[in-house]
Amino acid sequence: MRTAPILLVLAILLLVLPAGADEGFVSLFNGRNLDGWVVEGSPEGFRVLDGCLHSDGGRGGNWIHTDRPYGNFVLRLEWMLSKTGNSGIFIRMGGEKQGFEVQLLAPWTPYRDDLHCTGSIYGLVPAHPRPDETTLRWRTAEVTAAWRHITVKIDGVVTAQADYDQVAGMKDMALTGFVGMQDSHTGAGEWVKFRNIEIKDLDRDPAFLAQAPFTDPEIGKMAYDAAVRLGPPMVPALLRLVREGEPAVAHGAGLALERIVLAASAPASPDRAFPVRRDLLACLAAPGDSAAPDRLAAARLLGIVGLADARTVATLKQAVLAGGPVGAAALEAMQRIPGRAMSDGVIGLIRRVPPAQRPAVLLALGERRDPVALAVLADTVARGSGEAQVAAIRALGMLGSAKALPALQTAALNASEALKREISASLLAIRDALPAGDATRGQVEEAIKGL
Amino acid sequence: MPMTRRRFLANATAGLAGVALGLPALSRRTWAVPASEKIVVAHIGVGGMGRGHVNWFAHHPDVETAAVCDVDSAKAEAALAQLREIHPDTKAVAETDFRRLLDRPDIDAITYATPDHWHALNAILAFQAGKHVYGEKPLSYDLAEGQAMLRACRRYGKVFQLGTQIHAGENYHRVVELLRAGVIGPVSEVHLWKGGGNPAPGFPADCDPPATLNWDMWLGPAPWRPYNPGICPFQFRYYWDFSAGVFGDFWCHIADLAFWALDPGAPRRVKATGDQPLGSMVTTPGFVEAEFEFAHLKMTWSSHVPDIPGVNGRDPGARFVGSRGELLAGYDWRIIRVGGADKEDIPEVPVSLPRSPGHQRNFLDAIRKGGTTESNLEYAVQMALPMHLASISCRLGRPLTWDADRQEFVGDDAANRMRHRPYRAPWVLPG
Repeated sequence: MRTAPILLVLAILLLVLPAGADEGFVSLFNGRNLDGWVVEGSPEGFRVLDGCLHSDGGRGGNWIHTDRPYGNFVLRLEWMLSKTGNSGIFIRMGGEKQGFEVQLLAPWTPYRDDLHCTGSIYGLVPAHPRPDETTLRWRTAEVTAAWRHITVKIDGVVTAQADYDQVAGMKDMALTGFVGMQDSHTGAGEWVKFRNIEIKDLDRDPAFLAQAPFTDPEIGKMAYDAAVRLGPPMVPALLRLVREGEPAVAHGAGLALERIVLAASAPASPDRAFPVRRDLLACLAAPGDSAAPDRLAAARLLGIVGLADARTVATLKQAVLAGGPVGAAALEAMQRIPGRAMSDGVIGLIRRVPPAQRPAVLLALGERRDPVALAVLADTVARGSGEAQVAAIRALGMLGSAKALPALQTAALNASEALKREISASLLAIRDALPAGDATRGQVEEAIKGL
Repeated sequence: MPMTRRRFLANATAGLAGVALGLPALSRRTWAVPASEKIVVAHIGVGGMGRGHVNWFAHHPDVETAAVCDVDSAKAEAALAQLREIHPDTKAVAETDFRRLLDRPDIDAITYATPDHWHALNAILAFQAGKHVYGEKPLSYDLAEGQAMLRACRRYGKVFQLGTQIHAGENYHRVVELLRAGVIGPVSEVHLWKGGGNPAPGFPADCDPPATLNWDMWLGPAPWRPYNPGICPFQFRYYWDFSAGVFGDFWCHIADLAFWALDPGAPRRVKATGDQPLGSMVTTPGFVEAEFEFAHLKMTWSSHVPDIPGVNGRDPGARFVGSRGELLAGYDWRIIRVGGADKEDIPEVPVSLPRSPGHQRNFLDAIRKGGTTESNLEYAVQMALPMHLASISCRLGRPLTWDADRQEFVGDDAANRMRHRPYRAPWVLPG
């Protein structure tokens, strides 16, 4: 009861505060030098002045851009123009495909049209409403680039929106490129200055990437690449897409998921594997369909990256007991993950699975090749019957230990011809697994002859 | 009634057929088939390549075909009809479960042209049942399977031939003679290529399998999934669950030339990369680029046909770089490039290798006379190894170091787990 008012206060706070409004923005300009920026054209065209990025007209600066490309992002900055200044913000520029310019302009005489004024996408999308262009004062610009959709805000008001597919001339434009600023190019004495330049890289936001229109092949590839670059933080969103996505989306997400998980398995990056294992286990442990594709993927990948810790063993066991394709995949994972605790986990399943599944569990012990299973397999050979007995005989053959000899010989005493052949095959496998010159080799060969 | 070999065996195992289904028969037959008797052959997997097997073997006068088998009964029946056109009086039967063939003591040898994920079990269970094996390439689905096949082949003393039929051709023999004679000097680099690319089945929906197909048996030891026409028939090769793409398909054909001529051993380092097939439901890369470090040479694989004079787009191919020159070769062509001049042959190099009587004949002769085959299992396991290492490197996205003595990757637990994919119960890879 006491927690309720606190929760209420929290809820109100969450509603009132623009949640995470500035979350994820990083500064692109440090106010001291041009670190992180590349000037195209004459270096004199751009300099740092009074903490601002400053461009004087007539110096041939051409343009300045970030030192790496950005695909999807929210860019924010403040700018001020001299009396008749002319500049602009370049988006997705400098690559093979063309980018575009958000125009920043003084209120000129003669009057420039809406297609070439401040807040327009220069020559492509007119500004509407047309913002106040009075110069010699600080203004704000915000450009959101999300795949094929662009939004421009000037002083907090949307002035232009574009969908690449709806605007003539934008259909084949770049989806990634540099962010840049045009120099002041209205002659000597005119200038432009920028400050508080910051960007939120949406390609590092799992939620954004998960909503990519993957069915567009170019975007599908970009989203895949961005997801893989982002790595482990992307895993929960990808698992969700594997479960819920359209076939093409689920497929791409599955490929990205495998790529990330397997990359995180590298010996040099144990810290990267930790959250991946946690997320895969959470997915597998969550209630769900025993054929759910995300749980299936999680079980299979755990076979490669999982550890034999208590939580993993328990989660895999639970999945095996729930049956279905996920259960089968969980049992396969239990075969692959080394460690005594995992062997004990498989042994613990023998009595808990339905009889029809018991042979599969016994064979899993064979695949693990852990001698700890010798006793329980020998016991099953001695006391078992039918498929379980055959499975235990085969598993003992896979273990390749001469210690299985007494159990197999005893079982051979009253065995059918078919069972004798199974025992013989296992004894041959055991013989071949023994090192040359091993003292027990002769005993195994005698046993084979005795069948 | 004279006690012929076959009758003796039929008596010895009388009553076991049926009971033994799924329980591999153990035969101690080690003697060769006498010249007076036909070699009795059965074919497993007779959809695509397997129809070639039926046809090839049926045309050998000393072969009798006992059965054709396919998990799709319509394909088995079609193959039987094909056989009847060649031998109208054939007593062969159509089967859908290959274990029935293994239970038949009269069958001497089986061939298989099943999907890759079945190869190891087809071969090992056949060895256990006392059959000789002619198996389609690639050798196996994963690394551990190849090792298990080799153990079983030795254990039961059977003949194995990998179906790399180009091996038998005149050009491969001559290229090997030329390289071994040192016409380009000691070889330091081998560059292999096969143009890449995946089919694009799109994203067809899962559905019920055709009524004639036993889908669970088609999957066999592979992980369960619903039937999908984008996988079966034909395109299983482009899914990691069943195969290793164009790379895995063609590696053994062209790497054969390098392994035969140079016997480079096992690679110590491997680095492979591949693209991601996003636009269609396939999962293997269409294009693989790989580098291998062997003790005495470097080997590469590319999915792009190199722009080198003389290649002219021919695909697949191999380029050998020696201290004195280069040799370029494919299935049926070669260029010796020494001192700025191109030659097709150097007649002074003597013919030193015995020519193959044909890939299938070579297999049948080994059954009849004893001895080994031209694409025997020891050789095939060595040759297939780099392909498996590269596939694992490609999937993990990192270079790997291989310890050939221990048969394991150095310091990479995940890579070692990928040497073998556990079988789906009730299937098991024998020890």
